[in-house]
Amino acid sequence: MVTLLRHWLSRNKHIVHLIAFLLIVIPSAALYPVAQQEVVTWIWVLIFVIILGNILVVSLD
Amino acid sequence: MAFILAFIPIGLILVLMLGLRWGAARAGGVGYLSALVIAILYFGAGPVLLAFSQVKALFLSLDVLLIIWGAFLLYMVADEAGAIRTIGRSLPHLTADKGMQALVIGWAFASFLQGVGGFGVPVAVIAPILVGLGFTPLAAVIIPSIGHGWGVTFGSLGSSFQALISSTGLPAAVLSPSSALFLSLSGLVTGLMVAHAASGWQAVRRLLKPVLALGIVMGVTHYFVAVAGFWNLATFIAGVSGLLICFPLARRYRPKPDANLSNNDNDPLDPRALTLALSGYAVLVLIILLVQFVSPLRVFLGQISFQVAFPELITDLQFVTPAATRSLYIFRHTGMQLFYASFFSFIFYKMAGLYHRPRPAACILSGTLRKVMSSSVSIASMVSMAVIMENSGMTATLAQGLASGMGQLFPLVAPWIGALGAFMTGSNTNSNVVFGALQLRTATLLGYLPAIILAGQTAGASLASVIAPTKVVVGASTAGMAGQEGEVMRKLLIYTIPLVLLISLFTYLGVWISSW
Repeated sequence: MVTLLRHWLSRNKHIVHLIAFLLIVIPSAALYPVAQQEVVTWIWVLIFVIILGNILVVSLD
Repeated sequence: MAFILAFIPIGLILVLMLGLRWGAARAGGVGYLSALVIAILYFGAGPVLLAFSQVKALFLSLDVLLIIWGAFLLYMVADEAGAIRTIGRSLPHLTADKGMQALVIGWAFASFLQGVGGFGVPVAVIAPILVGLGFTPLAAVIIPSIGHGWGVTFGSLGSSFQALISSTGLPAAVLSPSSALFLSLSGLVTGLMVAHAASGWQAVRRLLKPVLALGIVMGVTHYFVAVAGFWNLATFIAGVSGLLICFPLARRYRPKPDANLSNNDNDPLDPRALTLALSGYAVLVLIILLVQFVSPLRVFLGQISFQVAFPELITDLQFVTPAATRSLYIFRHTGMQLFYASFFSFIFYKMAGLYHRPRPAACILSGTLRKVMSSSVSIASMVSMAVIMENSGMTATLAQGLASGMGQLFPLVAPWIGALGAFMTGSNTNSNVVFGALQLRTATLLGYLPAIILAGQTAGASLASVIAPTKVVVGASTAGMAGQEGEVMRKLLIYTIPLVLLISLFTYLGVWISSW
């Protein structure tokens, strides 16, 4: 299953990159109003999504 | 301890890209994650600081990505019309010598593009042309990267030099002579390196005269224009002067045929086809010049902007990042100028009947989207890493560690601090913003002439900005080397390290002479 997933990921790099890019960019934009109001819980949630985007890219071969 | 921890993200990127040959996207992800963890656990970066850093990074990323997307689109518009192939077939008629082609396009034309555009445009525009001319993709990235590095400080209409003035508070009249001198002298060396990157040592010996002629003309122009007070036009005018003598020089220069020469005797020059092919890039230059120099148009395009205010940010260790407002003038952005050029070029090529496949616009857009995604992710990650490092005090820790550790050898180190800043942020401007005041303070404390140290800072940053991962990604992706950025960076380092060493030497000599 993991092998199949890795195979799919490496064959569709541009789609994975697009998903990772959106996971980084959209939460980054959403962070501005959240940071202004200092809503710490939402800040960590959004940063976690950005971290996921980066992990997704790193996991690509 | 703090210095070592602050170095880890950069060290990891260097090891992964240069040692393990990872692509920039993967290495950037690791760099980002490590910077985030170290900033939180050791440098006391809180959630609000991290959040605003991330927004700032998004802003800076968009600044770069607009150019990459626009450059790719223009390239795809031209390539779909067969323009790149036509230029590739036609330019050897000007000079069949690969080394001379590299000097004309990869040095003089790259300097010109840096003067009017900058922000990665020279490499993004020229690399595909050189691939079309038969250069290997690696050489196609290396040549314009080295070729434009000397013109970055006074390029982009002087934005990096303006940053140095703003961050230090010293007037242009004080800063420009030494900065212009260092960069003009290094420009000559970049010419030799361009020849070497094109065809090796044999080309350096063979092309010594045209390199000297071009280097002297561009360097002297660059220096005197900058010193005369027109520093924002120095690279632009140097590039124009280089191009003006380049073409007659290339025609006069007829080397003996050898293995490195393209044989195009059976491929007659078609002036109409070449004019049509070049029109896309001519439109780009025209649009950039119009936006820069026609004030009403510039004002009109600048009416809509995104402005984001960032508050003062303080870490738990009391490192302060001052409040700032960032603006993005979307419609007059260099990237948007590339989009305008793409649009008008597409219409022009379509009217000329150069598109043969059905639905060319769809082919161009899907091709562009496929090619830009890897670069987009890596830039988003690396810029995020750089901003987190900057706002959490990691960058300042690195700079202070370098300065205090070197003492009397500081003049030798100053250019490397500038180079480090440019490498991390991908920009001579950002390096000057981050390190300008620090260099000024350290120079004053150690009793060195600030203008010399700051010249070392900006010249080091200018020349090293070409190895910044963000720029390497742009070059590699436009030349079809996406995922092989480590290879490009490794090769670029071979040329960049001696150039920064040269600036170190100039800075040391400058300080020594000024102490008399």
